[in-house]
Amino acid sequence: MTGSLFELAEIMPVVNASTAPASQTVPIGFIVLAVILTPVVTLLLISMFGNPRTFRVPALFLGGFVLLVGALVLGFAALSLVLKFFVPQ
Amino acid sequence: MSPIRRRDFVRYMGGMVGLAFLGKLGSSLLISRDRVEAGQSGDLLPPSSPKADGFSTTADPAIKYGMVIDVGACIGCRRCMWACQKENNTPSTISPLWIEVFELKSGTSVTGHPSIEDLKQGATTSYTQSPTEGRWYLPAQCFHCENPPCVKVCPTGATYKDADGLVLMDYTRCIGCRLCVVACPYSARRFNWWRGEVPAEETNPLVPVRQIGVVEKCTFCVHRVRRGLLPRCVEVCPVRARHFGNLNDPESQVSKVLQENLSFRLMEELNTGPSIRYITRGKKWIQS
Amino acid sequence: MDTVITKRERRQRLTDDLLRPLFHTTPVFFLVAGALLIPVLWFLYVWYIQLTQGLGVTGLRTPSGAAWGIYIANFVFYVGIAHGGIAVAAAIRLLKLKGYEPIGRIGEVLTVVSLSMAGLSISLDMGRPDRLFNIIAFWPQRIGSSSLSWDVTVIMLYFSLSALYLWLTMRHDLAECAAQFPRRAWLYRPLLLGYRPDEKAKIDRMAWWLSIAIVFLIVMLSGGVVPWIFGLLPSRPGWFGALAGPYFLTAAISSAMAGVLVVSAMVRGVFHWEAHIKPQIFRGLGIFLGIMTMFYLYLILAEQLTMRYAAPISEFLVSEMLLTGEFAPLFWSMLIGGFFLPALFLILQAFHPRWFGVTRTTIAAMVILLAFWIKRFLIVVPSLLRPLLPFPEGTYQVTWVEWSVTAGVLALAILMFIAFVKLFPMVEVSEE
Repeated sequence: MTGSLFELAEIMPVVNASTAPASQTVPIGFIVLAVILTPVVTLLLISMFGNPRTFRVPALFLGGFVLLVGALVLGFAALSLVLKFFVPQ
Repeated sequence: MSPIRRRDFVRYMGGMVGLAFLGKLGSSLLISRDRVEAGQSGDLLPPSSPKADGFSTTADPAIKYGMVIDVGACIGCRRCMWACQKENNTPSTISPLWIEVFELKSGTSVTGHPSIEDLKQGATTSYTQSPTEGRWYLPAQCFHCENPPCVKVCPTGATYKDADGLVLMDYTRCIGCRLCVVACPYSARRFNWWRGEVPAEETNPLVPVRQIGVVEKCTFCVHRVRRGLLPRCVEVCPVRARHFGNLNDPESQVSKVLQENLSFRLMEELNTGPSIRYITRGKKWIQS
Repeated sequence: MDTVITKRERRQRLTDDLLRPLFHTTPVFFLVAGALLIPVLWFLYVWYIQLTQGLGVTGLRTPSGAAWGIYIANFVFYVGIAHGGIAVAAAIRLLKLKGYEPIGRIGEVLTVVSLSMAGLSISLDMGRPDRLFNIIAFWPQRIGSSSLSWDVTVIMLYFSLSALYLWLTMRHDLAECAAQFPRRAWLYRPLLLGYRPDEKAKIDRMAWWLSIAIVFLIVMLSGGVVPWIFGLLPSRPGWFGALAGPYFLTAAISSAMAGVLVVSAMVRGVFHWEAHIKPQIFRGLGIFLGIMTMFYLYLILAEQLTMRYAAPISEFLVSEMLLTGEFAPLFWSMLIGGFFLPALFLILQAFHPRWFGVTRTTIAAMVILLAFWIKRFLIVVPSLLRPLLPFPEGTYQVTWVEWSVTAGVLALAILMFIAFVKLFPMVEVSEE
């Protein structure tokens, strides 16, 4: 960042292209994802345990979740496949 | 792939095999021909290593390609635009082209940024005569940023930053969401709104013809620079306003040009680290 | 003894009344469905044109012009509406707002339907929708940085949880339906897999916690990953800024409330459920909507002030386009006619109960809903028309293709909703 200012002032000899921009070191997306997913997963776990102690409904819920996400992913694939016939390749 | 393009491809493959046999002799022949065309000498690039298939090349991490544009020298002839279009199989449906040369009013800008008037009204890009008295010209294309926002936002990795500093596109992976288009502060990215068609006899076999619905942009002529040639826009510039080379090498021509002149980059404050620097010829006040 | 019978009778009458749409279908329904099918089929044909000829058939262009247009505005709009239902349902459950229970499920269905339309809108905007799966295929390597990958993730999660919430809380009523209407058992049986009458206690507990998770996801979706697609990009004046999150979230909640209000009023009118969906519900929703819309006006003020006071020229120019430039007629009519006056009316009726009327409230909500669509358009488009480099000025002329697609998607949403009304119980048959 400061490289350009030094360049204008010409106080130091210019070393070309060494003015690398400050870039992120940690993929920020993982932090975003963690911030979003951690509370959701925690709340879902709380919802499944506790009274009344039956695991039939949570099992149905989890089964439904897996089915639904699977269906969405498959839906993506299916839609892509169908549209391949229309879009000029 | 049309028959003609396939033939070109075969011929090119044959050429590569031939080059491999001829070794140094062959490659120096190839380079010297371009040297004559370009009317330049001494700023040829170190070629990256060819891939096993000989068709595409891999990036050399020791190299960092960069461009220097002399806005004081540019006469706004736009030869770079048209040469680039031909070189890179840009269809007529892409508008503006990969390179845009703005004609700006002088007098208001010291940093090379467009003036407020220019921003308000848009610069002239449809001029028919250049240079015009009292105007200066700002060529712009993909800046191959060190910290490219387009690469950051891409959901498929279709656009990526290679080891030698080039920001490139994988046209077969692009889903056409155009998030990179809106993320680019330089508006350097183009989109194939229509199916672009390039006449087969005019097609450059080294550059893929883009499909419908994908994003494209300047590649710094990756197919040339990695073989040791200059980008086409640099080669055709009649006033040598463009310089290209390895910024990591202090002896390269771009490095020398930068050391001798004042330079600036566009929108430095956005932290994108563009690889294109602009210079105006002039004395530096303090010699290092 | 006497009271017991009347109680059971009353309950039976209630059940009959609420389940009537499932058993009785008038010709009007088929007429409406048929009328909706026309724009949907037209939309499919227009989509075919767009797929085969390219997105050039839209008014979108770049860099002189807008790279995104009303497809993206539709996307943001539908994601916003999708929060209404679940927000209402969650509020009912968490804040124990028993009075609002009858519209809970209407809202939940609205969520699932409009979220599907949001997904469809994104596919419509893509240049290569046939490579849609690439988002999933390269998800692992892109989630670390791509804001669009975050969006896909959170939308899929939100969709799944909303649909499951709807399913779990509906099972009790589905059992009743299956018993009362054996001819449709084929539809209800699979959804009643493993049903036991005693599961309600567990479902109530799960739904309570699930509500919190979903409310959190609303903030992270409409106040998070959706605005972050725009707000994280310094390349576009008018988008960049931390305000994007709260700004979009307020718009989402407000438009969602307006959506629930309008749809509930229509359902109520069509099925003559005046006795079940009480006017107080509309009054309460209306006041809330009015206050939220006023708050949104304050956010617009904060935004415009920031874009004008000592702003970079690029920001100022976008603000100029809105306040005095080519979008000024749209902007000011939206601001005054679309937001301020209806919101003022909704708030005033809190103090003057005599001014209140379900129809008036519904009309006000409809106007606000339309204004929120215009606002999404004014968020997406003007910023794109002013690139930071001095490209020639572009314009964005919405083409007939885009209008057809927009109309078709809306018709499809309504069609899906009324199909749901005909197949599933829309109002919880609550135990009194």
